[in-house]
Amino acid sequence: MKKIRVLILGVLIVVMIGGCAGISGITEKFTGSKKKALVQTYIRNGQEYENKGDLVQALKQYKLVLTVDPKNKEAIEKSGLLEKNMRVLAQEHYRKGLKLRKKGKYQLARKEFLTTLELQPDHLEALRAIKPKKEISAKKYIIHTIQPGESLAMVAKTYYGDYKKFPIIAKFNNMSDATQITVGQKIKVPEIDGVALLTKKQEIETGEKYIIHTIKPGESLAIVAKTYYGDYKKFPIIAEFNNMPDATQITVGQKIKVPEIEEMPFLASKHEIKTKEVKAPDSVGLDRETIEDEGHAEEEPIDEVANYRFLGIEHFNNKEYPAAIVEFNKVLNANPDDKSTREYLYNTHFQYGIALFGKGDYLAAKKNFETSFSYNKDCDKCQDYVKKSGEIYMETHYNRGLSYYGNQQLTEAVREWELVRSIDPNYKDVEKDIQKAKTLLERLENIKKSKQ
Amino acid sequence: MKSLRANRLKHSVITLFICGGGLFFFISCATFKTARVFQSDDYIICQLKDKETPDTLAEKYLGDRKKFWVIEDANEDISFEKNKIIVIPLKEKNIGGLTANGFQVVPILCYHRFAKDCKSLLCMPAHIFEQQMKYLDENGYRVINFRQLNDFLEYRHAIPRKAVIISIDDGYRSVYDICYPILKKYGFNATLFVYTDFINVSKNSLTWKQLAIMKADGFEIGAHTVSHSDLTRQKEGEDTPAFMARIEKELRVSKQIIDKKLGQNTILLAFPYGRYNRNVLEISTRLGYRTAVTVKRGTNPFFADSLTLRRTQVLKRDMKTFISVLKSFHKISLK
Repeated sequence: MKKIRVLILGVLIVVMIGGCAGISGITEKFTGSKKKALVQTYIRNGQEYENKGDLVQALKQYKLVLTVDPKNKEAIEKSGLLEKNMRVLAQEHYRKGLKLRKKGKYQLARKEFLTTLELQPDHLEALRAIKPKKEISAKKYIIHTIQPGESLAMVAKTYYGDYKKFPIIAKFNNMSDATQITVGQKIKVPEIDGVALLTKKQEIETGEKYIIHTIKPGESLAIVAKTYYGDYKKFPIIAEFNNMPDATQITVGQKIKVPEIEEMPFLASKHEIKTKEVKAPDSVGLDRETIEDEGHAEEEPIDEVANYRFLGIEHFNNKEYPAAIVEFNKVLNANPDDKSTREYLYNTHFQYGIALFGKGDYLAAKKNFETSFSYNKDCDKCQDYVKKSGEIYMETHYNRGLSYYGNQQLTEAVREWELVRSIDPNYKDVEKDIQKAKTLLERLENIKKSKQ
Repeated sequence: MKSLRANRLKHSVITLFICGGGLFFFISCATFKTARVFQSDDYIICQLKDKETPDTLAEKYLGDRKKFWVIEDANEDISFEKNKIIVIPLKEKNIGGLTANGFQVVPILCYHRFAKDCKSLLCMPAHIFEQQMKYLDENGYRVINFRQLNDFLEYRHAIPRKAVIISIDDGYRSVYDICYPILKKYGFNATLFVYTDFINVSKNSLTWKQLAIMKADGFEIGAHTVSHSDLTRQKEGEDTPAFMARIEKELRVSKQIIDKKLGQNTILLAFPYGRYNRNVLEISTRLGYRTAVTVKRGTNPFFADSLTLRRTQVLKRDMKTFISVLKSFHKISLK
């Protein structure tokens, strides 16, 4: 026994030591030639990045070298130098950004601040400079047209008495560059707390020039806006000018007025097209692509309200009336005068009323016929059905009440009759019947009590 | 008795030996560990062992299995196989996703209704949605939530390089019946923006219970007003104070209801029809909303305004359009 145990112990120890030695043998391989190769790869990568001017990636490679070989002289030297250089560069970019911002070149300034952060992610001033400031809120503003030789700073001087306040105007107009203004451009000058507007004369827009455009198949108001203003998103201007309650409701052949607006390029006029038939220009004025636009600026805008209408119509066609009503109501929430949706709501409530009537749910049917009528005052059928479903409802419950009464189920009878009374208190003898049943009930209660 | 005691003594001596041996083994193998893995303050460089995955590495070295994407993003072109050399960053440096060639942006997708088959733009057929989620899964996209996005927007923590958010508006029942199982299949979460008047009202709407179930499964629930109201539209015959009071109520009451029903502090908001103005933003902030989304197309960098985040509606059904929305990087030279 003893010998066996000693033997087992001996074997165990040998296996443990041997095993570990074996593994460390493999490790040796990794740390030996492989280690060298790794260090060389990282150093090479580091140099490449440095040559490309990507200091951040270069520094990373040298840090990787130091992870494998903490005593590597080249890496220690290079990474120290890079770190120092990057801090200096970051500061340079930050100052450049500040200067640009002061001049009102916001987009260029932002690029400098981003570069600062790329080089030095913990540069808090650059971070603060780049984060969006609270938007300037002002309920009132004046429209000012830029005069020849006028700068934004001069506008600030005119209205605020202070040249330095021009960033307020630039921010309020979402300008990416305050120096890029053109003569005739209309800008909003906000009235802000603590700053009195020196000039109160309000300029009135006169732009009454317009072109008549005939809607072609497949053309939307947004496409028209794109044609004339080079921007899909300007379609509300046309809708408003033509007093359209719904910009999506246009028909082929419809003639609409496209107003010429001073602050916007009027592409069609460049093409010398003055009357009805207008061809879409082959090339369109390219919007300055900003980061925010992400290249989507050229897409047709989404009409969220119209999408809800389509969803409702699909439900309506599938006879899913309650679901259709939900969607149509969303349209009216945003666009109370939407004619086609009001028409659909009239139809949907009517159809739903008929369906409920068929199922014997007369009260719900009545409500739907009433709503249907509210969307179409000429609907005589609606009123007929309101009356009819109301009458059947009352008759049913009145009779049920009678039969409960006959069976001496007084509470149930009262409940049925009260349903009738809630619709029409003068229906048959319902009022009297209820009183009668209630008196009887009271008497019964009293008898019960006296017996106890 | 005597022999028994002697036996016990022998046993304890042997146990001691074995324990000592074990200790020796561990010490010798500990040196092996450090030799196999290089570590500095900034990085760990290691050679992959059998069965090691980004998940197990994240658990071992970063202390959180869910940070597997940190390791995957740092070793983009490397397949995770035995003996491959992997770099694990230990410091979170690049929170804004900035490189010399540009910066990271996050697309937020927006859906509404789902059905087996339907034609409206606001309704996504199940098989197309499945195709889209499969694409995200197979192409390395990581579906994140708004909590993570807020970390990114507030410059607190980095997020996966190819991050995307899935959001669904209004609170249709089909979200639970059709969309939820597909999302779960791929391990994705979404954020639902619901208007409280609609919840629990019909067979077409979600119930509070369903919302609670999805929330427990990692989904986020945000507000979408009480009655899906256009917050920028004054009603006919409504004076300005009454209009202001109505907007305030739409935003306040919807938050209160969701807070109470789901036991949370609702900080997410989607403007109905994507419509807002300065006044709406001001009231929303005052009521405690911290993140709000619009339907302005585009993506969001770390310096985006968290109250007017861009969001792209997935309306068309072709994959080309879907893929074009999934932009994760904005190129601009930052040298």
